Amino acid sequence: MRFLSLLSILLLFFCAGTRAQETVFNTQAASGSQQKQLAQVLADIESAYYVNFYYNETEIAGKYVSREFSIHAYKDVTRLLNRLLYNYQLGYEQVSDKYYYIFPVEDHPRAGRPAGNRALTTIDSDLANRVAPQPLFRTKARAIRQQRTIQGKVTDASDNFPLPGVNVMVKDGTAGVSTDLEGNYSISVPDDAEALTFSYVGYVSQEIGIGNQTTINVQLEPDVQSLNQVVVVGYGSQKRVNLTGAVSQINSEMLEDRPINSVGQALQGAIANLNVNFGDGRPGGNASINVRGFTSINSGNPLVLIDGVPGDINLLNPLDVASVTVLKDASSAAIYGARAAYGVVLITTKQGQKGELQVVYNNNFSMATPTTSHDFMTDGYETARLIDEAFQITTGNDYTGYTEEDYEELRKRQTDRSLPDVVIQNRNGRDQYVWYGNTDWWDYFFRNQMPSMNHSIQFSGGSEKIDFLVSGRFNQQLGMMQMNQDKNTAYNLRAKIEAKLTPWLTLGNNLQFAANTYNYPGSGSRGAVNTSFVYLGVHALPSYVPVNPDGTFTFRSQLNNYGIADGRNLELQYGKAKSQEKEFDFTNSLNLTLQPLPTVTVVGSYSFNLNPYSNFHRNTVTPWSVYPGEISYNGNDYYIESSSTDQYHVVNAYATFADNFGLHSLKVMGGYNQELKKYHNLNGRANNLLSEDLNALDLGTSDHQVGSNSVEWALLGFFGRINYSFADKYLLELNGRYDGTSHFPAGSRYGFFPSVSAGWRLSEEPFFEPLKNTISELKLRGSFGSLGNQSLSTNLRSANYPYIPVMNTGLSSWLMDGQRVQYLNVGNPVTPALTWERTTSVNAGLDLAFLNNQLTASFDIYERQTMDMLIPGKTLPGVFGAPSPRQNAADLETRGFELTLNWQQATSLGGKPFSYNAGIVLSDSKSYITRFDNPQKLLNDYYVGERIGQIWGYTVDGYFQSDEEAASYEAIVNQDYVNETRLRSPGDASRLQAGDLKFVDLNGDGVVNDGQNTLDDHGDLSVLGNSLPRYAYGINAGANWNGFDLSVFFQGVGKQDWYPGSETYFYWGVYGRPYYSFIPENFRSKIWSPENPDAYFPKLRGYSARDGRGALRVYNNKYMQSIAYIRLKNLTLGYTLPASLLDRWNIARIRIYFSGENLFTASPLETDYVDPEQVSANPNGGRGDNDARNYPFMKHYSFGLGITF
Amino acid sequence: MKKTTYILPILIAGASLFSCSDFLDRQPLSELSPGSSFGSENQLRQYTNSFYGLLPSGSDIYDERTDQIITTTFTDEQQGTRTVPVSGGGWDWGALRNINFFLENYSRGGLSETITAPYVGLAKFFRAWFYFEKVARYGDVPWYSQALEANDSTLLLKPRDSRMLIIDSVIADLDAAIASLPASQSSDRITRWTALALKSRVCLFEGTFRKYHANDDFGQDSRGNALTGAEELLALSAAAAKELMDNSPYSLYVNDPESAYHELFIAPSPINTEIILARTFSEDLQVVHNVNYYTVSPSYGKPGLEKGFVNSYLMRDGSRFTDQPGFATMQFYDEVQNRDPRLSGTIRTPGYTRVGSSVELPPDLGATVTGYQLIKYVSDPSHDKINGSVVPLPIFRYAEVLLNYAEAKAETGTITQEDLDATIGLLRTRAGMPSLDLAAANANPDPYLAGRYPHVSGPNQGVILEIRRERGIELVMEDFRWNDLMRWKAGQLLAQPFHGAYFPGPGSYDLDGDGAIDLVLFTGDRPPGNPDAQFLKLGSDITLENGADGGRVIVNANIAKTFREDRDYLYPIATQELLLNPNLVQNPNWE
Repeated sequence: MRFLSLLSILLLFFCAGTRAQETVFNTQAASGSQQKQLAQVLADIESAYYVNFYYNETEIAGKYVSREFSIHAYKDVTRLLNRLLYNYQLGYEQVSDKYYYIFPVEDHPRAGRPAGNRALTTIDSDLANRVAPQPLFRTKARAIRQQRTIQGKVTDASDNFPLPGVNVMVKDGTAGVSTDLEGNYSISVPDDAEALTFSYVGYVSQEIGIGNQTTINVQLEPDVQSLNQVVVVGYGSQKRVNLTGAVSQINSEMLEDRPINSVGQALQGAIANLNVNFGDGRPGGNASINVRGFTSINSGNPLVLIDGVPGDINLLNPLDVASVTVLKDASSAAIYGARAAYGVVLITTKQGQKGELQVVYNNNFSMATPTTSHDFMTDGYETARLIDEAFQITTGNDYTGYTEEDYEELRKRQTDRSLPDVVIQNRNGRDQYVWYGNTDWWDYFFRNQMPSMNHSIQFSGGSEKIDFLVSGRFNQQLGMMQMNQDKNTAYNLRAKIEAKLTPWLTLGNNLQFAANTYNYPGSGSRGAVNTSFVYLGVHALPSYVPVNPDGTFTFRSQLNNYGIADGRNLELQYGKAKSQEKEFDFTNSLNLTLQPLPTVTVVGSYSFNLNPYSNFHRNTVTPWSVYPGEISYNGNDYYIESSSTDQYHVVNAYATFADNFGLHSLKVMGGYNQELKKYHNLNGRANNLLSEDLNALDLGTSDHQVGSNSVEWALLGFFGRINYSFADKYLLELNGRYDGTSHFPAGSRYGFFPSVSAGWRLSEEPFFEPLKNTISELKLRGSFGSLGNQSLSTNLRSANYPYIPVMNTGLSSWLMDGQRVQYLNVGNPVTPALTWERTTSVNAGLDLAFLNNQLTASFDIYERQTMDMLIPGKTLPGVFGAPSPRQNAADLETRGFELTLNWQQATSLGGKPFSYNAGIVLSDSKSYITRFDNPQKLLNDYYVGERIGQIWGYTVDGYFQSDEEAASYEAIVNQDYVNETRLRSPGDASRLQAGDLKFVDLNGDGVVNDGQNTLDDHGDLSVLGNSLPRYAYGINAGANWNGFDLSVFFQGVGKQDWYPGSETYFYWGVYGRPYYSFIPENFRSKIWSPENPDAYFPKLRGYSARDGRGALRVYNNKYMQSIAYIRLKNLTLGYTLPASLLDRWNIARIRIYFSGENLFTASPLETDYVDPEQVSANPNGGRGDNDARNYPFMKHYSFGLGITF
Repeated sequence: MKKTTYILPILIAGASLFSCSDFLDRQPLSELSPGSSFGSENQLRQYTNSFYGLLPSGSDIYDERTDQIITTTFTDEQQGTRTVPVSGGGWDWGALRNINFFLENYSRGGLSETITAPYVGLAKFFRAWFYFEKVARYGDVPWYSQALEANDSTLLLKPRDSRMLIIDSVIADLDAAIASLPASQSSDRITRWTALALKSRVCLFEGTFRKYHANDDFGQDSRGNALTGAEELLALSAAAAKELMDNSPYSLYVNDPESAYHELFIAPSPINTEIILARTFSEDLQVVHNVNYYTVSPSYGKPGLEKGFVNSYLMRDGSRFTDQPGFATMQFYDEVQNRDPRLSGTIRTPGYTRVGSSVELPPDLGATVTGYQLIKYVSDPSHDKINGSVVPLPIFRYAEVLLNYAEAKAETGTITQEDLDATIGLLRTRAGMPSLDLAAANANPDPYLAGRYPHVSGPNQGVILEIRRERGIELVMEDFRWNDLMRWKAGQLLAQPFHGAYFPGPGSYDLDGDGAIDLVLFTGDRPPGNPDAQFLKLGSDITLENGADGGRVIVNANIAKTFREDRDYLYPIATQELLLNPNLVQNPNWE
């Protein structure tokens, strides 16, 4: 922003090449295609020269300018205005570097003074007086009407800064003033005046009823979709109207006033084809982001730059964000060359503003609760019976080991809860505890109400020479683990300062610090809190109890071969097994901006990022008991600690030249970028600890193991861009980047990535004039270009030296002389000649604005070819003895579109200004494999022509209604191949019978199978669906009235299929592992029986959803789930207190709000125990957990307060 | 202010100081390259250490569920329900790649042959081990002596080589290993003696396999060539064993005959005079196994010896238990009296005490499904927690070598009484039993064993049966049984119903003869009394052949077991492998 306005001013100074213009002015009221309204011409000048005019519209109305008059033909604005305004007896006064008053010459104090040929005026001390509120214009009618004075202040609703130069008009147009530098105005209006209108370029106009008010304070909303908006692009910015690539931007208001904990949450559904997914709902859970759908088999993520430096959005304070720009197509991203193949996300943080110190404080208190149902079977008797039945059918044995007497005891406790849950009985010759409980293990392990809070504060201000912004945040979220409740704590600090050292030199520094800590119970590696949902999901039967009467913990019933929750219950109950992840992020950027010539800007910056990450996991031996008085132990005692340091150095240097040559406008930018990453990790493990509470390797008494490793990589690139436009109508952009990376061998390390794009603003053509009142903007865009991907996602060695063969090291579990031995072995094979994965993409776009930009639309369609994907090579025969080395060996084609629609209007309601807006984003993509070395077209690998994400499966024709039907079907169709569970069942249960699924023999060969499992011979498989999301959308709407604001935001996916994974206990219940802990309530009613022939699930067969070729495990159409969804992501109702109330405390603004996240979800998904978003795949096919055994997604109810001083 | 003008040029100059090529040249910082990995003996040692991971561990060794040891659930192998996997299923070749890479590259460091030779020998030992496992599982497999390249389609798509060629190559590798490995005595390193022991094991396996499968689906390789050379292989087996017997420092561990056998498996560290190679464990290092919990808890399938195998233990005087009148309905206490002491070294018999305890314990039918509760490897109760065991588990021991020798000699018809005295005789002497008499054995082959091994015939039938008896008893729970059944063509032993101890019906039983009731079997309501006894309800907790009318314990009576003679002697190859390599053919009758 700052850079551009500077540039525009410079342009005014140094403009080469004037050519004589034949201009015809016509001061007569006339209409016709040869004429343009003066107001329109002034608006054009505003957008072309980045200046603002204020004037009384009535004074300008009815004046016309010839179409021949070119606003581009002058060296600077002053010359242009001199030439233009002279004919209308209008003068002007420049009040700041961007603002000009325009006034009738005879009306102005300085009337008569030649207005032109003045250099830019520096604002001097008495400027405020000179532009003090004063009527610009008074109608003759004023003398005969009663007048009263209304005063107030106009501020920017987004940051509360005063807005100078806002046009304040009486609705009937009889009077008008402008606000002063402090945003204040005072206007005399006729007594009968109804309303005031407030208008300002780049803001939504407001009309406010006057009523009895004498003070009217107004907040103007920035006009987000304004075509004049400046959009951040790579190494610079660009006016939206001049964009030729596929670029979307949202501004800070999408992130403010919502109870969000991370930027990722705010971006979900906000920008078309920016796809944001969360693997789980844990506090501090990370977002994965994607641009424009499936990128590469090798997976590829967008490049995320925070103030120009690669960064992690998960560590960013949402309130620091000023704008988020997504560069989607090759032309807009090409400037980032080899890392931009899958899009670029540019995040710009807020900048201090000139003016007095401003303090903004926001807080938010929120309560989270899972979005899904957690009503499980907790009746000890019913559940044990069901589990035993399911287990017995398939294995021939019972599961629980309960005798009929035990069942009798359990049955008594269904009604008589006064009976003891635990009794001591002699079993297998010993006294032991026998449990007869009705335990709700979910409630025992998990909470349902999790509070979180967020506090943030921001100080900003500045003078002519220096501006600054300092912000901080504290965010704490508590998790759902009942024992040792998990907790995520985040701190953020940002300090940004910019000093104009000389008129041509600006120095800036931007410091960012973040700290994030997640503590959780249990041991395990990163993200391992999710393993609790895996372990706790088994063997914790309601008939078992957590604690014996003597206070000892329970584990094995000793009536069967299993232990409750595989021992995780003990870890949690005993409470000594703990884990922590801690991450710091420190980034400092030093920026220098130099303007040796007015047309030239040179920027140099050096950024340093330090990212220390550490974690520890402690496991202890846990006591348990089943024989009264006898303690047994489970588990091992160890402590693991790992800490790593990432250092990242970024140097950027680039120069921009911009100038206008008559109607030609040219901007040339070129630069250099280099980045260096250094990673080092140190880790250790100690066994047999002296303490169960202290965390130190030193406290291990035996077998200290330590290890370390390091990785380095580097990038450098030269880049350039040329923008050319003719008469703001014909736009052309060329980009190129020559990039080198350390990831590839010297011979194939460099790549050149060019792109070209062009735009045509049809709406600026003369022939468009008749439509202009309806369609205010119409632009066609097209781009073509090539980008690279070098896949740098991890600190793993293999990702960073992919072409260099290395040896592995390890610690063997084979002991020599009582010690584990260190070993060396062959590393995985590599392909020495790796090089870039390259994408070429074509994009066509259309931008439309209707009704003076009230309705804007943008549509893009694209095709992206991903070539030479770096993939694990084709599946090799097992005798190769290693994973297939990665090769540049596959191609992919992705096609898609995205649509953005926005509507906004300001009007009045009940005499009060009322503004509302609504918007839709919609996007889609589909990908196909176009090259892959799989000549047999094995279906378990990629093959040419495959649509990514497709799900093959069998077709089921309901249940057999009778044993006879099953037998007669079996006589003609053998479905044994998909009946593994049945076949391994003992006795009668191995027969196909009533209630079993009837599989259709699609190919009529008498056998239901997958043939050769190839495309040519796929047996009875057919494509049943697709696991990738289609038609991702977001719908938002908002309204402001009388201090109240309301916004709703829906987000969803239009089409996506999911076949529940083999461990989805929330869905399969006892059809998976029969002994799952959490079986949905009333599950028995879903089981087929002769009395319940229309049940959702077939005849009960435990494990049939889990055995490799069990009837429910093989994908089939009956249990394929649609996980399309629409979700009320956010609903916020806020109220901003009237400014009149706050003045006395010197408070600029107070807003309170209530907000909810994920309040409502609709989906055809069969079960409410699974959140569709939880199992939704990201566009690259990744999922948190296909079995939905991860941290549940949460809905949040929150209350927040924002104060601006 | 003027100074600032220089900042940017300096910045740019500074940036370009990194010359492009140097700046982008980043080599691994914490990994060795193959080129620098073979320059010192230490590196060769480190590399060859990686091969040891191939050796079996923990439950690979003790969880030997075949026809001798059974649990509450049957494996697919026991049940005959193996299926053709889509991928994997044991077709793993990573270890071979690692070995071949070493053999191709070890000389790059330029070390002298005197230094490299033992390590080369070690690599060849492990290549032999690898291929022996593959042949036993799959029969023919492709032979590779180099690490494959991803683009070498000729080798990748190679058909299977005949097991004749593979075994010859394995023997060549072993001969090389025998020639170059040190003749030291170490139970945690591969030595010349380990290589000899493996050679005798491999050759015995292959010799008997070819002999007993000569006329069935497995008597030819995948190209249809008959598998010949059984005699030669058996002779090689005997010769390798003999070399060990004559020249190695190993001997049988001898102590009180009542306890020597048991002591061998509960010693905290391997008894080096007999154990040639063992996997060792450590509590401190948390490298552990689970044998205690496996055998004493009711939670790990309740393993126990199978009744038919228990019957094969001789009486202490060398006579056959199965010749005893009424042996089939003899109750537990009676049947374990005066038997081969190794029975008491393998299962709980009257008078059994835990290691370090003097409390006598009867078998716990809550922890053994058959009543014959395993005690081999079971250490003191302080190791009873899950994964709490650290007793070493043998992989090669001298007793096997003796058994190999005797069997190889007997199968080739060259066995003498001296041979028996030097092998079976020593094993029996250790147990305090009379030696095996060649003539007597052949004159009167045991009809009970003959029924179990119907394919044994000829003049040495009697002694071969006795050697098999001895092998089963001596090596039970040491992971030999599956291969033995396969090479002897004795798969039908898996198809027979599995039984436990005999009980005449409901009633109270004093299993260890101490006068106290240990076990009460009942029907209907649980009878009162006997507070210390174990109560098992017939039909639910325990099932007898004839229900309330008694009989042997029967396990999973409702599961029909099969063993397909035309199929189950080899494992199937995963379907994906067959698709990826059209030259690969499936093993007989798997589909």
